[in-house]
Amino acid sequence: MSLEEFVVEIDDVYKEYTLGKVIIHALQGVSFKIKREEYVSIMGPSGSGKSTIFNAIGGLDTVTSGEIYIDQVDIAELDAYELAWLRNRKIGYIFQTFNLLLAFSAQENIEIPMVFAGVPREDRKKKSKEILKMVGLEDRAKNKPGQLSGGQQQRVAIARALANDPAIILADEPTANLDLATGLEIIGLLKRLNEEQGTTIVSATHDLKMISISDRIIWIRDGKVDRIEDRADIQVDAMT
Amino acid sequence: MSLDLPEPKFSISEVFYLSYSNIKRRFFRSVITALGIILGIAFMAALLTNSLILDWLQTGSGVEAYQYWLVGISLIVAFGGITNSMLMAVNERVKEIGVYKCIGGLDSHIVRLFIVEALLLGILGGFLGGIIGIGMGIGINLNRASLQELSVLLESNITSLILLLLACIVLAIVLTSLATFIPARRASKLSPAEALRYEN
Ligand SMILES: Nc1ncnc2c1ncn2[C@@H]1O[C@H](COP(=O)(O)OP(=O)(O)OP(=O)(O)O)[C@@H](O)[C@H]1O
Ligand SMILES: [Mg+2]
Repeated sequence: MSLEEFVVEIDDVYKEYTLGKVIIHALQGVSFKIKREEYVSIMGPSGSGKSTIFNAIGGLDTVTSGEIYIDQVDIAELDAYELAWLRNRKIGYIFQTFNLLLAFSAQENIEIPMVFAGVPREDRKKKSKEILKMVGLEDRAKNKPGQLSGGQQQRVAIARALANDPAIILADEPTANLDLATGLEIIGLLKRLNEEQGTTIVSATHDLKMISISDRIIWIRDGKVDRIEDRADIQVDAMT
Repeated sequence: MSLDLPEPKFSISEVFYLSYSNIKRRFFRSVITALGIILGIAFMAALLTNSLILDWLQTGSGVEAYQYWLVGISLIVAFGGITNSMLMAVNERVKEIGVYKCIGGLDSHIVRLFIVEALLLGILGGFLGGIIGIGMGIGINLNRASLQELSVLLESNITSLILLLLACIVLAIVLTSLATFIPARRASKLSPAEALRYEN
């Protein structure tokens, strides 16, 4: 098995938050590896540390100790410029609350990561149209986020995450603000990206609908990995 | 690390377009911020114009000490009003800064976006505030001299008035940019996760 197979590696990661005199041990020695083109769900009770893992893997927050590798690169060693590059090109983020830029249309929201990447205007327009079509929103290109439904905003967010062809899509509760049917649509879209484009997907979630389409599930409890299940095991679990 | 990265490009026209969109989208908020700038600058310009006119009219002992006091106070008011408006405007948008960071914006990109917005508001606010203030400064002297006298006086001193207007614009630009640069830079140094969960 070649090293390159792992696109995300997190090794013995600890994260402490200090609130005044109280120290909260949000992560206590978390380790796992994620293979290229895998679809992995991170599940666990509220407060178990899923979002903290999301922030750590995504280079969105520092950790107290431990190592995180994205494509074999130790992200602790990256400077500010390299980190921005990583967030811009390697990883696409999806959030529970969409986090779109409200001043800009759907198409412009997709173009801004490309602006930061230095993609010429013509190419940006073309690419953003293609991606919008892929997520089924070609007719809403000019609409601002405020004029779109929650499900449509999440599609724009997914489209934005895809702007610079990332190796990994990281999601934190992408379906938590959506109703059942819309949530299923979003999960279906993520699965399609995973299968058709080979994008690695890592999603923190409470949503049991994610279980059946995940290759693996990492269960987190009290800041530790409780167990890791393959899809095969999950089906056995479901029957017992 | 040697990721061998290309130089980032973030052209002036992109920056202006993004900043302009932000002002437009937050139009009502931008108007309030601009009003803060206009008020501060107008108050100062009115008092300065009044002092100038009194000086030109050579009334009695010329400019009195209290005039200097008033101008000093008006400067403080302008300073306080403008910095407060701009600080609040940035503080409301820390989450947005977090979003820019998540999609690959460099700290310098983000600061540039905010500075250009501040510049646009500063130019507009300084210009309008200056015009309004100078007009008011002239208005309050209509009882001291006839309109005819005043217009002769103003015409012969037109360069001073233009300089005053320019000074208003420069002051507004300096204050808005500084009062934006400092908090925007601080916010852009937060990690994206911290910026995203920032509550104001
Ligand atoms: N900024 C913070 N400051 C202090 N404590 C924090 C902070 N963020 C998270 N925590 C704590 O760290 C622990 C893990 O939180 P985290 O948000 O990762 O949980 P989660 O699994 O994502 O929960 P949920 O399912 O509710 O989103 C919790 O005890 C939480 O209170
Ligand atoms: Mg969470």
